[in-house]
Amino acid sequence: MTRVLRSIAFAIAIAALVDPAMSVTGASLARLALVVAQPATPEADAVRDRLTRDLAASFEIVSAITSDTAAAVVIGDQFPGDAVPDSLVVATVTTTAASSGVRIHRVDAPRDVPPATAIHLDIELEGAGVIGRTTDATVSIAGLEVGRASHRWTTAAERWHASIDAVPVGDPPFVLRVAADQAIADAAVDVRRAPFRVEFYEPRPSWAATFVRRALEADTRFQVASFSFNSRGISAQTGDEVPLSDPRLDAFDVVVVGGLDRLSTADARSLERFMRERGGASVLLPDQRIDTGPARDVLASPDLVERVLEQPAKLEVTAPAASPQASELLVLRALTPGTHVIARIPGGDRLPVIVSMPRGDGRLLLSGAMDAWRFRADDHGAFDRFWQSTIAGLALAAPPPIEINLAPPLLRPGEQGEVIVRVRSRDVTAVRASLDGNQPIRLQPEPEAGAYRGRFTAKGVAGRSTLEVHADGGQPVSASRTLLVQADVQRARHTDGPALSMLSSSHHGIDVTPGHLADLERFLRAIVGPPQPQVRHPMRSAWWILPFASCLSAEWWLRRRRGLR
Amino acid sequence: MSPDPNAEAIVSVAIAVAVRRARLLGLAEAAAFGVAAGAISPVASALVAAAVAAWRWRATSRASVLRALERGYPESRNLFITADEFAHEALTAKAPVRARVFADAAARASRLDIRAVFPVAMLVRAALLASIAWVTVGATHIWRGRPLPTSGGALSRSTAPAGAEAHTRMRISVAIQPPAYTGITATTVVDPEQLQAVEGSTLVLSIESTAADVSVDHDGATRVLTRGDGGVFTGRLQVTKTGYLLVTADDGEAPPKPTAKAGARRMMPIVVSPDALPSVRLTAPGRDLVYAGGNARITFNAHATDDFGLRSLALRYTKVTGSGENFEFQEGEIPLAVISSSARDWKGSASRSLSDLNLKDGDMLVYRAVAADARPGDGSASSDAFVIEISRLGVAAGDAFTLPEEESKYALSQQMLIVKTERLHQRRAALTQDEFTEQTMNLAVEQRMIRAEFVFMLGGEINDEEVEAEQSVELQAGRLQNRGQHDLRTATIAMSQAQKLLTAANTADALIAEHAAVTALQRAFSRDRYILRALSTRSQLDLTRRLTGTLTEATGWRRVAPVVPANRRTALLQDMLRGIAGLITLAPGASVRGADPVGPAAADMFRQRALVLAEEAIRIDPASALLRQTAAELQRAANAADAARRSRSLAAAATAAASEARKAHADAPLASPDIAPALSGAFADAVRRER
Repeated sequence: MTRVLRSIAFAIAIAALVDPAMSVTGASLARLALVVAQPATPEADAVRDRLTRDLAASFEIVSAITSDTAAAVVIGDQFPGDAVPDSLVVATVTTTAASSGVRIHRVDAPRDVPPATAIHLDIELEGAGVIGRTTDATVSIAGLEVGRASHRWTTAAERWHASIDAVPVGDPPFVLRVAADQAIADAAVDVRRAPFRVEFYEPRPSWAATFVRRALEADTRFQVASFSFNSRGISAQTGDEVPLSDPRLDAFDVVVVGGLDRLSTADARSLERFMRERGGASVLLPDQRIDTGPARDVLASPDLVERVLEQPAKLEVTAPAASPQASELLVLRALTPGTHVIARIPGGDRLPVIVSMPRGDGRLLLSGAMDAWRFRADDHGAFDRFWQSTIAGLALAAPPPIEINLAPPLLRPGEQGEVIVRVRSRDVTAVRASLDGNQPIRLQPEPEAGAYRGRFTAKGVAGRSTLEVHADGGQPVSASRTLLVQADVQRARHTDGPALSMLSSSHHGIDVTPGHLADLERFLRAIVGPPQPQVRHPMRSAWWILPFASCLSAEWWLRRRRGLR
Repeated sequence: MSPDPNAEAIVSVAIAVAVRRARLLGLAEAAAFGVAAGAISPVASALVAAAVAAWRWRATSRASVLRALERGYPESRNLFITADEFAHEALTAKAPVRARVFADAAARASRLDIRAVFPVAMLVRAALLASIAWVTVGATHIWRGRPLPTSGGALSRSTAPAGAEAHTRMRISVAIQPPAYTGITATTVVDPEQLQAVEGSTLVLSIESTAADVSVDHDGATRVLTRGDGGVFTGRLQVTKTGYLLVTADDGEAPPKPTAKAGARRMMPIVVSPDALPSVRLTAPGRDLVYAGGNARITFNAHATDDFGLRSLALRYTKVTGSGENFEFQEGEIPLAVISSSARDWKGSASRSLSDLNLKDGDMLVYRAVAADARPGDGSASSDAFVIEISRLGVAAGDAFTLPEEESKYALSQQMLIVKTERLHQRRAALTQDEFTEQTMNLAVEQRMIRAEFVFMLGGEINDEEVEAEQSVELQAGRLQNRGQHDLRTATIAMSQAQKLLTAANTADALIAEHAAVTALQRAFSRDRYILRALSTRSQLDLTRRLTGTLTEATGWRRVAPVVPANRRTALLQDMLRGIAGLITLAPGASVRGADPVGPAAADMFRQRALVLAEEAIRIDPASALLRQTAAELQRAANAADAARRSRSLAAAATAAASEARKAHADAPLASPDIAPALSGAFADAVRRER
């Protein structure tokens, strides 16, 4: 036995010294990644299975792109979210959208809402091959249905825009699950704890501004201050009001102005600064035509026309706001680009009456419903509800000192996400962010002033994380945002993004449909080529040390057991 | 040994005794095993008892008993079997032999110990097993904090929701007795989900319960009911508004609170239909009247309706005489001749002349129709009040003051007159001259009516164009300090010009004058609004007080914003929704979020929570139909035996609660669509600059 062991050890040693070279053919298949874009469809899975079957003999098939991948095939119907190396040859198989059924394209949810407020969701759905069927889109929180809308499909391929007001349930952030037939998508909405700060400024008393102020004062979500001049040098004030020229005005989200004919040039300049620099919103409530003066300069809209209706009309408004009534109107006959029409005259020419337009970083809202306050008691206080909803929306859009946006807002355990931080102050020296206090996030400045972007990895288990951002400078500020990590996150399928074929165009590949997979296979074989013979030296493997040492050790042990040396 | 003549009878009796004992023991054992199985469920008890009884019965046949006797006494060597065969003629033998066998068998039978042959050991073991089983069940229930059920299986999971209150099962019978004047007959409902009654109805409660105490909570007021003669708890209560009735049967082991584990609770919303006040209106004259004098006769017609029945209809008036600070008021009533088409629909009429009413120049009569329904107390309602005025000045100032109803609604719309004039001006080419002139004349009349209204508001001091022209000089000189009056006078002058131009069929210039009138009116109503009251007689103004205030005291002030109460209703509804969401995951058989099937304890917890939430829903607002529906569905879910029905009820409760919560929540903020927030403002600026 000892001889045998000794012989083996000698043989290994001699082979190692000789180091024979071996030529291997067929063992070095090129690695091909077959990637199915998520969420996968049965059609995409079928394409992957067929390519795997056809190409397995020629390639080493893997399911993800790695550094040594020779080429990749991406199968799906939309541009993938993950980055693809620029040098990699990528071919694409563009599958068609689901041949039948209902798909959720987009769920628009607010980033946050104030307490005790409904959550408005705009949902874009597409129905294919479901003509004649009725689809219920439901919104649920924690398994409880809190909103629903129904639609009957009338054409073979149709889009449906559903607007649902959902009731928040439980602790924020709320995870709203939208379901329509088999399609599911999640959205996250947080709660804004800070009240909306609104200042009313009236160079002279005006009913139009007074009743809007009363509507907001009756709503606990608003913190209202007012500055109303009754006469020269005599004013009525409420709350912690500040003059328009005071820099402390930046603490407010919205400024509402009435009595526009008495607005001074300095007031107009202050409003411009408030909108452009602070990013706040100004609401102008005229009670008569604005032909000249500083107010006209603020508006900068030359096509204001007065119109008087025989009967008060309920204005057509954008959901979810209530419809106020008015009979004396200032209408806009032409709109500047970017103007958002909030209310129109019903029927006929549907001229805009209440519009909001971007002004610098902020917004300017003009209400041409001059006598809407007269009908404030009608339709269950539609006047109050309209202004509460509208001004709340403007205040929500006003940038806070630090704005934190997460993309995507809901993450799976271990998933990578992006954080975009916008700092309002321009005298910031450093911005830093961390996740749960122990995972620093590197923030890179964006081309947009005051904007920073960073990537992070969600924690490995479902739960909540806290993302904190600190901005150092003249006046340090900080903010935090709760990040929800869930295992069963469902996302809407965005089909309005770039086409998948763009990926192959930019990566020297080709794009085919599932019916032309043979072309793709030919392409892949052509670019990757046949397997080349390879020379290998098997004795250079370090693993040979194990049998060598084992043989010598066993031989020594056997000899010692027999009493030999 | 001579054979005993009674030997055959002795043997037969002995065998019969043995058979009877065997059968009794078999039945007793079956019962004992049944009791033991009853610890699991009543069904198991019956099945086990029947199976054991059937098995044991087979062993109590005569042949089996004889075999048992032979086994117990082997030395008898089949003596009892042989004797039995002789007795049943299954075997024949000579008489001596037969007699000998019976004699020996009788001798053996007299020494038989039946207890030894059919021992009670098995029965004792079965009884012991039953005792152990029930002691275990009792201990388990005591450990879980629940009383031992008196019937039904204790360990059965399926019986937990439905049978939890079996020991205090209630049967609630409610007799609803509407007020007598409504004429509605009384009704009785048993175990209702909801009670509906007319305001003022009396509810007579009859509650059958095995509980020691039964109490009712009506809108927060709790009272304990007493047990009547028939062992039924009775009580009466009167309902005046929508609310709730919570019946609690308590075993006296725990106080009646929502989470009490002892006792049963039943929540019933009470929906009370209010007895509406009569609806009454004056159909004639139905408008204010102004007379310069004379003795006109006025016919008054009134129409009244009520939901249950009317009691009276009359015309009441207040006559105002005098002037300045020396007014006198005199109340009176004019009886109406009533024609009733039904108890709910009355019409009344009366006719009086001015002299009948004793009205003189300067007097005013304010009248209204008053109807009362049949309810006890004051169930009366009034129509709108109208005025009859005797005033030469009033008629002179506004000769169209008493406008026809159709026209009066347009009286103040100068803007509408502009719209009409503009339309006519646009259509003038399509009209003949006569048609155009006729329509401009109509507009001129309307203009005069509008002007008259404002003239009347000014105190009726302007009677003609000359006076207006004179005062216009004063206006220009700024001598009239009241700017509101200034603007109103300017407006009336413009209206006069418009009227003249319309009369001359000159719509183009008339429009200019009409717009000028509107501009003046807008100034008047947007600044200093001194609307002068028109008095029936002239009053002297105290000019000495004019401009006597001190401007130094006019300073700014700080207004205190109103305190807005917290939105408690929203908080309560959110709490309830959160509770329902918890129930969905807790529900037995729920598959939400992978919840596992739960045991009886969790089922009982689900039931308790569902009932608590049902009560909470009603307490939040019993007048809300959606919350009543929520409560009803939650109670159904609590008592549902199968998971599907429970799930349906929970879903219905959630939908109703969410709908109610949506009403309580503020509308969602209106989002501003920003495609590129950072650039949209700059883009808009750039576009604007290009223009």
